[in-house]
Amino acid sequence: MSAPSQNTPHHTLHTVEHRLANQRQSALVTDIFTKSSLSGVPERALSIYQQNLQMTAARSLSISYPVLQQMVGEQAIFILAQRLLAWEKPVTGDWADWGSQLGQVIENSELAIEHPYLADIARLEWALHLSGRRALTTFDRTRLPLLTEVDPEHLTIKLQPSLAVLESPFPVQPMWQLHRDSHGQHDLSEGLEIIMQHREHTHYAVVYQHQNKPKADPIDAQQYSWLLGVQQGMHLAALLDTYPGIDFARWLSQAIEHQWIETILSPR
Amino acid sequence: MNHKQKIAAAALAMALATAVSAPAQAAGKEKCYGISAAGQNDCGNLAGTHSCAGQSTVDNDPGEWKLVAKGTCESLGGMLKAEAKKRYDAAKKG
Amino acid sequence: MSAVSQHHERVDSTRVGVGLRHVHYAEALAQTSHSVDFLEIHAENFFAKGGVIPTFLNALSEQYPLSIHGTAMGLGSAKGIDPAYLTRFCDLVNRVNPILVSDHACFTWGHSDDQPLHAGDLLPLTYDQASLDILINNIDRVQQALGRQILIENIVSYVDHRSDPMQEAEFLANAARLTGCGLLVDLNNVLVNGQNFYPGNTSQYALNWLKTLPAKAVREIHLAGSSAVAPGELIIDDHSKPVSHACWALFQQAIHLFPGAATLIEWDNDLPTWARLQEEADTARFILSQTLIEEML
Repeated sequence: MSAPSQNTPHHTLHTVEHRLANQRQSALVTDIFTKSSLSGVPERALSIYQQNLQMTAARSLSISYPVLQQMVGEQAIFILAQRLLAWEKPVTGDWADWGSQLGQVIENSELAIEHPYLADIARLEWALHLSGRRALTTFDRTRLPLLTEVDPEHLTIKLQPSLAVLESPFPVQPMWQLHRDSHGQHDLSEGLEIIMQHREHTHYAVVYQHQNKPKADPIDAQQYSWLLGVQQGMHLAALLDTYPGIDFARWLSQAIEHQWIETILSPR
Repeated sequence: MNHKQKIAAAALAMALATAVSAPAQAAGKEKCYGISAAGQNDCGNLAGTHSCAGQSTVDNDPGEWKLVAKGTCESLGGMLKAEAKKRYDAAKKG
Repeated sequence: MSAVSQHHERVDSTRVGVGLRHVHYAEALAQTSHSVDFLEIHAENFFAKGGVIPTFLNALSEQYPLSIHGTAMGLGSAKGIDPAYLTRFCDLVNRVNPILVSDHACFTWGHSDDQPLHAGDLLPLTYDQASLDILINNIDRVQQALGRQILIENIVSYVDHRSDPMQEAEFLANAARLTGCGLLVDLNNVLVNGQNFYPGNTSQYALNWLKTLPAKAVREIHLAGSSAVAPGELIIDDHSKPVSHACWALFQQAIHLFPGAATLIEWDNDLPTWARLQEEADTARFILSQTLIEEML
């Protein structure tokens, strides 16, 4: 998420007093975020604001990353939230927008050694979090006849912006699904072992919004490449040439059912 | 009609027969029960409260900050950890 | 829409609502007979443009008059309010057409290492002329963007304001007078500030505080309870308890002073059942009706 532009006041206030007010406010914010003491605000007051920020950040992550929370526990989420705060500051005023860099923070943490799959679990959950909040455009069926009216070389398929594809050396989608379906059941070791026994060299998943809810499904390497190609705007003829193993008719029908497609585009 | 045009025509026939998922509005109220992420702003900057400041459910002492996975990761078992470590080392050498 | 005008008619002093929290979403929708007159929701929780949240919001607004309460606008921010935030806020207000719109007299926007950021908290203003200028400037901008009045709420502050040039209530009164904004009086926040900084004199402090406000500007009252703390520690406004006796007592005085205000029960932590929450609303309604009867006699 990009940072908001410098705010422009309605009328410009720029007397010495207003600059001082601005500096006073900035000093308090800096003290809260960096544990400095520029503002002159007493320690016991400052510590309430600092603790509020820490706990709010941790709580926010546990909401955006519910499976990760199940996997690593509350203390680890708390520590990760503190590290993330130093890395990525909240900028929008909605806590749901904060936390995109958690996967990176995990990858750089000591957790990555014994639990290298966790960073990709985080990336999958963030994709789900984003996907479930984005607006979906209803597929325009009236565009379907373009399939026969226009040469496949001039046809592209526009996927919903809420759709994302991911790849990982770990079976993160099945791990995520297991937790999601666990309904708070604590001992998932058996299920996890089965998942790990059936692991492959690389795992692929598609994340999308279906009937208002974010979903993640496992896909194979070919479906992954195909979706990536569609997403990158390859035209239909090129897609069919590059991925002859894809049954396009079946794929299109399923893609419509799964609400993956926004529209079909042709330059004409 | 070339080969690709035939594929496209077959896809059109099948797509026309495909039911489009019910629009969001018709999904029904029960769908709302699954809202998981809606309470995100109910804590820190809520309604004049600093309620999260009071929720010290976690040990706040930085001296105790050791990043250890406690949840289901703990129960992943030795097999998985050993395997994971092997992969990690391999990737590092990679 | 007629539903909208109905909603507006329903904002009067006998109206009692509750703050809607996540755990009660399903019950609030499932309920057919209401013992609450309106629900207050937190604006930012409904900023998502798609997914289940807008659908839920639609269903909710069909069933209840809504009040939209911002938690992040930071109307006293010297840096001004982030335009992207304001756009999302206005979009939400336009979608819902709420009976009331409110946020806080505090600041939230700042910067760290020269990067703009949102503090994620309600941070205290210094009650002086410069802060007042900033606040009224921002309120003005928001009211113009919304095309309607906004209410500003008093916060709990952990900073000692006793040597500020203005008192908090006087500061808020000035803001209301200069911008035409309304006031949202959180009685628990007044009491918590009183207990933290005017111990031993809290109820007198609170009553004076209320009497400083222009009565007509007060459109809404928040009621809540906070956890007790060890002596000498600052009380945190965690809104984790039933409305306290002190708060109910202050409420009785507040409704005499502010006959035009709606009432809202806020319970944010250690949430009770939906039914228990409604009992709190019933208690508020009972006190309101007793007060009305007293006034008639």
